[in-house]
Amino acid sequence: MINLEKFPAAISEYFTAKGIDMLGALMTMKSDIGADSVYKDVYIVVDTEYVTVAEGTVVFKHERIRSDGNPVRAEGFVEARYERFMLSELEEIKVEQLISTGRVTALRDNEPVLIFNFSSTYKHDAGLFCRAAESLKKDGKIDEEKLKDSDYEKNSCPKCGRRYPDPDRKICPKCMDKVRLIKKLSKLFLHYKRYILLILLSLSLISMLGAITPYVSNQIFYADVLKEGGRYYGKILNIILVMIAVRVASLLISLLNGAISAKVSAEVTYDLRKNIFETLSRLSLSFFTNRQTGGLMTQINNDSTMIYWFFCDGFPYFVLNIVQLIVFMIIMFIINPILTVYAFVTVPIFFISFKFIFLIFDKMYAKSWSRRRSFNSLIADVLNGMRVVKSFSREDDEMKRFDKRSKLSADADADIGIKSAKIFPMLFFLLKIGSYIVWGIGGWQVMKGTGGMDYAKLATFIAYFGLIYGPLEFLADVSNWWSECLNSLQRLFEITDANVEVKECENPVTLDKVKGDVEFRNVSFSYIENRKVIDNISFEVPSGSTLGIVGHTGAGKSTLENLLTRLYNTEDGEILIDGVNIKDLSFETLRRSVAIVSQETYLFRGSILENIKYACPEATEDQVIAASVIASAHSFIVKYPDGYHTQIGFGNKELSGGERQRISIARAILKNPQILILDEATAAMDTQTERQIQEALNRLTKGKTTIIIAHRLSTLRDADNLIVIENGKMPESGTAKELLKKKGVYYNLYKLQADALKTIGIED
Amino acid sequence: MKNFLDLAELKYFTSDNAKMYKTKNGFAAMKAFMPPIKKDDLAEGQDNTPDWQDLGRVYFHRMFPFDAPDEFISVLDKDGNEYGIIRNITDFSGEDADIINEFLARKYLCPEITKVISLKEKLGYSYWEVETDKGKMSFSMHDTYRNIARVSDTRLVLTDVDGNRFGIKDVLALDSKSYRKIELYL
Amino acid sequence: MQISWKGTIIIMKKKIIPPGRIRVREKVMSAAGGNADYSFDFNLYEKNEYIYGAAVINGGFVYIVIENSNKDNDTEIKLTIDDVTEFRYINNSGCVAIEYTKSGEDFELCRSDMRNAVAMQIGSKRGQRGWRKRFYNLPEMRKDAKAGFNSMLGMYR
Repeated sequence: MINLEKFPAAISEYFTAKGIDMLGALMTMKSDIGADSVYKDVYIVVDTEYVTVAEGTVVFKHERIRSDGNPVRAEGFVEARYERFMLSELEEIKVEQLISTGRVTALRDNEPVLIFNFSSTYKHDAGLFCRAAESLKKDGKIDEEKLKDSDYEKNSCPKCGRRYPDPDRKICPKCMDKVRLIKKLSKLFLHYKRYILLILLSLSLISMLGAITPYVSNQIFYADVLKEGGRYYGKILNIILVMIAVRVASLLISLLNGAISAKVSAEVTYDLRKNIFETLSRLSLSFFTNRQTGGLMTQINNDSTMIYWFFCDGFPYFVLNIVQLIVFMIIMFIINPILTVYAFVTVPIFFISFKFIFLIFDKMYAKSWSRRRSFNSLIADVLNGMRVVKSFSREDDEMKRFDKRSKLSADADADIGIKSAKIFPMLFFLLKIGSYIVWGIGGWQVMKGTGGMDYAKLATFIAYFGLIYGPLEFLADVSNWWSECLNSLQRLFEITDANVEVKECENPVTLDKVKGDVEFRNVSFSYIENRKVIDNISFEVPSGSTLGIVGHTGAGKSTLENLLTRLYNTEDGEILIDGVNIKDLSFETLRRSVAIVSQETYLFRGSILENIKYACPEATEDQVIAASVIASAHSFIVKYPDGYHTQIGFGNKELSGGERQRISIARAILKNPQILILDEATAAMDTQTERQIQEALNRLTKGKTTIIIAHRLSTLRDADNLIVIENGKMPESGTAKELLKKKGVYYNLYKLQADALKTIGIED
Repeated sequence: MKNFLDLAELKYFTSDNAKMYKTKNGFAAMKAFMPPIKKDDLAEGQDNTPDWQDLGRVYFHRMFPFDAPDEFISVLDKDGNEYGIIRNITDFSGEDADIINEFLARKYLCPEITKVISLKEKLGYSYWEVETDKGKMSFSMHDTYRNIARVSDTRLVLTDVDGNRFGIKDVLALDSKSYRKIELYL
Repeated sequence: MQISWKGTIIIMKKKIIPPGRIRVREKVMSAAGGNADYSFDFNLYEKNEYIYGAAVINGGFVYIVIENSNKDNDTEIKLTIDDVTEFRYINNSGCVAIEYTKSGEDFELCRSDMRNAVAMQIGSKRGQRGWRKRFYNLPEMRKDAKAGFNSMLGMYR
């Protein structure tokens, strides 16, 4: 029995009352939108013959508090719709995806009928339902393996019942927030423990010296030096020298401390950034396509600085200040217990209001951060796309957009500033009251001579009390940086925890020589749930042949190349190279044998030589020139005054589309892979250049596999075989002659392009 | 990797199959042993037997001007179409090499800075006064940091507002005063 | 005039244009008869040495004066535009030049570094246009166009 969602007791009772065997049911699931498109509780039970749908509302009959203080609710179900479908009558059970909702419909007597509605929360379950129902109809049972959903029971947090926002990371943001972070924090902490201990050591030395000074300068000075009969009476010079010596020692140590912490800061930040960058590069492509890169950059920079600060500035000082606080309190208590108690009357109030402020600032910092991030992304985006902005004359609109976001960000920051400016001074005022109390009561005690108080003792006491302000002030600030730090950590862990979708298997197969046989077997794939981009495609490309892939824009041609290089993983089906499933191949073999020239050329900032050599850094200049001659890139590179050293890329020389494509073809050729994929690689060039490149490539790829994706048929002249992709399916395949005879999609495309030529007076 | 070098149909010129000469007015020209040049891509029935062709005036172009100024020199016609490549000037000797070198010296003008006399910055423009191997020169650059190209760790090429190029062969070999002046932009 | 605190008189420095450049400009203007349709400077000589040079295009002629390094002999050229079949502007790396073809032979007219690049480009165009106006051949142009078109057609055969 598959329980996609556990039914509350009241529902099970309700179903049993209607005569449905809950124990014999094959699948139970829940949805949340009723047939009248209103949010309801929808419960679905599937058994061997029927699909039962019950919609309504779960109501609480009455509530009582148990002895341990937890409420107990009795639930009932108010029914709005109840329907039973016979499975044998239903045909074509499928999911219709609408906008943020969807429907599961079927055909009954060739009439479409609604089974149930769902919102995006349950779209995954709805898909499962369809697959389960289909397999039930076909085989008479539900094959749990086929549903391919390992932890479907655990889609919601066991503690609070909410669904996990990201099914890959089983983390409930509500429940496991702080605890998990702290655990991760301690792991990082241990990593840098050397540095932290070092700083802690030097700081404690300084503060020890600092702790001695008040005693020396007050107690000893007044009581023993100045007072008659004191131990060191008259030896003022000695005392002053001692005080100076202590100061000098503390100065030297703080210099040392400064040097150490500067070095540590550089090293730790460098280390953190390296780790983050490394993690980022290991992540699969889908991570990057779903995020704004501008935001990522801010994230890496700011967050690593924040974390350095926490570990090497904040944390050691935090520990230090707490220790100082306790030590001073003990000393003060030893000197005069009663006075200590009076002095600290205001401090607890301080700390309570603390916790409150902590919460407020937490939220405010998160808001400020997210606004800043969106603002930075906008800038990065617009500046990158300035060309488009100008060609549509939208500068004013972009200015307004920028202004709005900038204002929002400034407002959020101003809020934080204003709140801090209002709250913290008031807190300190509270503290100061404490010191006036001390002066008053202490002075009175000295006058009365109670408890052996004399001026020396009072002066020392007040000196130590003054020293308390330092730690207290720091601790007051703790809320600020603690909340910022938590936020940064959270975001950072988002990256480091992001699941690598495409992983190398346990024992990857490494092939020394790859022949180049490519085979796709029943491959299906979708970028977004329930929208298949590739649906059950199979074809073979034997080594040494050229395959042409045609189809309309958006039919799914580029997806095939993404799947072949394992930038994404297939859902269904297998892709084999030389008979080995690519999931079993090592990344090294795969990447070595396949090269793609894609539609969007990305060239790094640098010289043309560096860009072409990117494929193979040890190539000699001869080889680079040869590769670019084959790609017909040499002829235009030579025209530039700097030749191969011409700087290209962002901010430098702008090359035309065709030139960029030729450079990326040269890059792929330099790699000299067994399998070459050209995705609209010659789209931006004139036919003459295209022909040159094709001829040259033909000679190069003799004995190697080439896959050419195009929708200009002249590009596919030399293909041995052709396949047509339409709406994710493959309606036709064969040689060009066969496809023309079929008079199908290929024939239509051919006719269209030939007709276009006719209009300019060229006869076929 | 080696196999595609032959597929590329590169024509290398050496002293065996090419001879330089000077035209009456001192321009560089070349005779080469190669199949006749195709004037028209689609013309058929062309005779492909190699013979000594007089290519007339040729232009040389350095393919790797910063890294390898004496290697991989492209031989072009007046429209910029390539005849072939000279692997290394040392493939030619004596007069031939001189002709090539003379042409290249005239084509590439990049005075080497020996000393930086003064360097002032105002409003984003930097005003330089330098001593070069061609005498004392002064120029200005805008967006200074962007226009100093680091060809290698020690070799710099500065491009001024007009497009003139100035090279610094070895930054570390400059005297310390000059170095300190340009340190900012490195 | 400035009187410093020491009482000495310091003459205010005037902006100094190198005498060479003025002299050359004046010379070429007088050679051209005082008028100029277009004029430009250049500052390099054959082996990329720095010199002062000036050019004037006027009334079907191009006048060039180059101050040689030995200061006594200036090179003066007067070129009849009608004799010239083509003016070419050559863009090198770091320097530019104007070349012309006369009776089938190529000559170099002048070179300069990038400071005068734009002026020289315009100058070469002016010289070229002066020629073009009289050698405008419609049947030639039609033949060229058809040949080009045919070669493009061949692609689709």
